[in-house]
Amino acid sequence: MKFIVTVFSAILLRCCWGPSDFQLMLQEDSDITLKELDGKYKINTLSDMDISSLDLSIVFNESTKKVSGFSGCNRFFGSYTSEKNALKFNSLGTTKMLCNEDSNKVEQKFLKALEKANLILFDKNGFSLLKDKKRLLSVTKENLQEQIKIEYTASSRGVYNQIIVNKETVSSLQKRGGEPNRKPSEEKNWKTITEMLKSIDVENISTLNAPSKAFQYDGAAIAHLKITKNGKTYESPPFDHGNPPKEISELVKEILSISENIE
Amino acid sequence: MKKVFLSMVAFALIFTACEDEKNDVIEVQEVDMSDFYVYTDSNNDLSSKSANSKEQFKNCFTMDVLNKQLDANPGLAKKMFDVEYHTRQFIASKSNGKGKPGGGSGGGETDIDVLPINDGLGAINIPVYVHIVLPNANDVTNSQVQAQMNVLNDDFSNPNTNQLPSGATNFVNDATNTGITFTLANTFRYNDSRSSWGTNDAVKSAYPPITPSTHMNVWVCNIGNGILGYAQFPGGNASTDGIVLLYSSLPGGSASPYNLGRTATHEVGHYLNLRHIWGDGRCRQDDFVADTPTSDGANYGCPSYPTVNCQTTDMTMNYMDYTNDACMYMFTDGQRNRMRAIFASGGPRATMAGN
Repeated sequence: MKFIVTVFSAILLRCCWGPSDFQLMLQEDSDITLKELDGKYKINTLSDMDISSLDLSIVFNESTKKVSGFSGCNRFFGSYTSEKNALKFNSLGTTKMLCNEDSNKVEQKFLKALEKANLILFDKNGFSLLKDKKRLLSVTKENLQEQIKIEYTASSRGVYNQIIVNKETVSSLQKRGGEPNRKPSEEKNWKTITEMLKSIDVENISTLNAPSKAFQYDGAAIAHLKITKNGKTYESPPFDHGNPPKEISELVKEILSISENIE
Repeated sequence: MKKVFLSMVAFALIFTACEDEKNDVIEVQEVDMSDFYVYTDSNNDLSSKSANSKEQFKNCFTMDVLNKQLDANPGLAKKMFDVEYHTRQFIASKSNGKGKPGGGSGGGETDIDVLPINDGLGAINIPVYVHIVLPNANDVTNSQVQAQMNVLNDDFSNPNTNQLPSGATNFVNDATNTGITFTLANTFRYNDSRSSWGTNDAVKSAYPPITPSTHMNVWVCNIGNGILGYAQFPGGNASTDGIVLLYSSLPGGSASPYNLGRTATHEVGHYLNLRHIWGDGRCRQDDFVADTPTSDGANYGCPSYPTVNCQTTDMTMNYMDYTNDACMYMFTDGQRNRMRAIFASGGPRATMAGN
């Protein structure tokens, strides 16, 4: 009897006199000091249904205000504007693949939620998107530890070429201090790269030997390969652009060919 | 730790392997070559530490260890070692110092001042042949060629200390007059429809150098891939000796901000045995010049002063950095001594100076 009363009063308090879900979320949001939208987030719930097994994702790029991700069947992309807790997605588009009915349904619902959303509330794991106090979806920040990034630069006095590849994006920059050209990574390319990484002793690339050093007399642009893995960055010694150490030559070739294809 | 141990074993092996030759070596003067590198990277340079004399390096180590990386040109490392050895020995003999020119102290901002040594070489003049190879070779005019010669002569003689930022008091002592001048001997024009020549000396094979032992040959052409120019260190193959310049890098050309003729100054620096000021590697890899600060990479554009790397202020205004033409305006005394040493008797360009 005592138990029933306790439960009952708890429910009563929570629903009618205690703070609402929305107020609790507001409370948590105000406790978060670092409210930045950058990098990859995984979608956990959609209309309070757990969909974490479907691997939907959303990737924010704070510098370009672009957004992209996987919406259950297709990849989507677009832009966003945000100010404090106001958030709006603009001109969302997707690739045009058809999948099974379940995936299509989730995708439509997810994209609709993005279009409707006008409020973002942060919590310690990620954030929720809402419209008029109603939660549409919640996400958690992808673990930084698992993110791999590969950066290739070739530079000389008159030359600059920087390519950054990660699971989501390929960015290429031909002018020092300019605006990079960004495209989403293709899944098969990223797969090739991660396969290649398995046979490279990433932690020790700083000890590789450059087979030639024409860069010493300007006969080649100076190239560097940087690999970020498990939150740490490993950097190769300088080598001639066009003639990398053999241990990483296939990887460098792949990265260069990926970047050429997005030009 | 394991790595250190392995390195020590490798070191010991090389050392004992060299022991046989050691007895035959007559050391003329002690020259410390421990920091020298050609193709190897600084952290793999242990091998050269066993070579505190020229002969040991020749007999034992060059051929065995370095060759693996020098498949294309096996004689080059040895030649470069000889050039470096001669340079250090000559400078040391004239300045009563130890041979090893390195420098760029480990930490902190200490001003290392190298004095211009009295090397007895006097004024050095280099006669220059210019080969213009373009679809229309007249696109580069005689007055541009003359302007380029003027830039070289000015850059190699004028310390330009008035251009140093007011805070750069450490560098005032370093700026130098190299005592090296250039005279245009002749200009050759070749109309050639080839649109880009790359950096593999193709232009030199097509239009071979003329008497490279007594003249500096300069090819002016389109190189391609954004490359502004490239050089060859002294001691290399005579048939490719000289520098190659992007036609639009000459004064008045279109390669802004690299169109004031300083690409030529930089390449001639290499031609006269200078390395990039950052030593082409990390902090500890040196350019073999004591009065240039250490750095871990090139500077670009027009850096503000001070630009600090490896705990010292970079000399971004040095011709051997990668900054814009307008923002580089000095060689140092140490670089001067190093360049001039190659003209001394026994040096790789001795005949050019009549020695």
